[in-house]
Amino acid sequence: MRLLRITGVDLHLFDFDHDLTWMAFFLSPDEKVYGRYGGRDAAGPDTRNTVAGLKFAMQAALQAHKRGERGQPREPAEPLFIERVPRALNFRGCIHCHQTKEIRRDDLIAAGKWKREEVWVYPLPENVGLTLDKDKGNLVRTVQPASAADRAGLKSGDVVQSINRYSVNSFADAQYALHKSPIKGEVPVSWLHEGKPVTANLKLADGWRKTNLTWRPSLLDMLPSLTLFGPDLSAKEKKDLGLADKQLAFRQERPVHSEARAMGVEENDIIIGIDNQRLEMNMREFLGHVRRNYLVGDRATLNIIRNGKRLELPIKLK
Amino acid sequence: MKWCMLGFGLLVLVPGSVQPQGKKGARKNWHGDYIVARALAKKTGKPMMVVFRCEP
Repeated sequence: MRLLRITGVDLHLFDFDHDLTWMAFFLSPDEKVYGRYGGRDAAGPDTRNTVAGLKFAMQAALQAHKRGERGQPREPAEPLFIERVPRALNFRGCIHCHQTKEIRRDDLIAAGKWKREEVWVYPLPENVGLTLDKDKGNLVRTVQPASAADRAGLKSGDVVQSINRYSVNSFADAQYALHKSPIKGEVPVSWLHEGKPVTANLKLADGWRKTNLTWRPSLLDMLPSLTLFGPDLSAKEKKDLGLADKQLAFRQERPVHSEARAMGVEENDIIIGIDNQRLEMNMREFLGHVRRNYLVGDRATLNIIRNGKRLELPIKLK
Repeated sequence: MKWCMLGFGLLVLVPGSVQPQGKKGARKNWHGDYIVARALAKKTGKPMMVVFRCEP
């Protein structure tokens, strides 16, 4: 059944990734969260979820309830209703889930409290080097060498108990625990290794939260689109310019978009990179690279070749 | 202010509960009203599963 009104839904209690299309909460009668199930990544909305995995998470929640576990209280303690957010008062029409994030973000920006790193929401377990089983959501399938999980001592076959003090029985649980973790620092992690409890810390380095954001509807207005387009150079053309065979190099074709023109790009310019990065990709991959690694408003340097001469164009991404 | 459909479809399952009679559009054992489901959970001592389905 679909509610016709969302008035009164506490977003601090039902705190989840609102870019999703499906999420389940398991709650005690006094609204303590036993766990979550759902979530996705850039590959698609169903890549992380299975019926078996849902059943596993449900059974874990029932066991927690039977054991009388307290569950997670809402954070912060006071409720949050979207209709009371100042920016929502000016909103016209229906509000979609992802728009709750946009409304709250606009409110923070207006208050001068929004920070750029807040775009890196709901990091994946893979960001700390963990791949979890889909059907048994706390079972470690693989550990990436030299990752935070590897350095903490986690191994394939281990059973994660908690991350950052949040119980883990699903991908959604792990992702939420990581979402609540700092942009840099350490968080505790506990697991069973061959049935024996182990605890350690995950050391989170700068940039650990970065994930492919391009699928997120709430961020469409924050991801830049370079208005450049043209055919990739042939191997011979690259060689004649002293470029490696796989290096990015495409010729800006006519007409040149007004935004590209404003950046200083001209017809027949050869685009070979951004910020002097050595990129081995074609034109389309380059446009996606910029979208995945930059935000609207970022300043960068576009590397081009014009009439045989290398130039650096300072640009501001839109 | 009246809010139109947010795009959250919310279903609440309280194990073993019975849907109120005459609840239009409800599925068996699922509730569409969180407040009602929460009251029932408190009364019975049973946990809740709350499902959100959002329109993209």
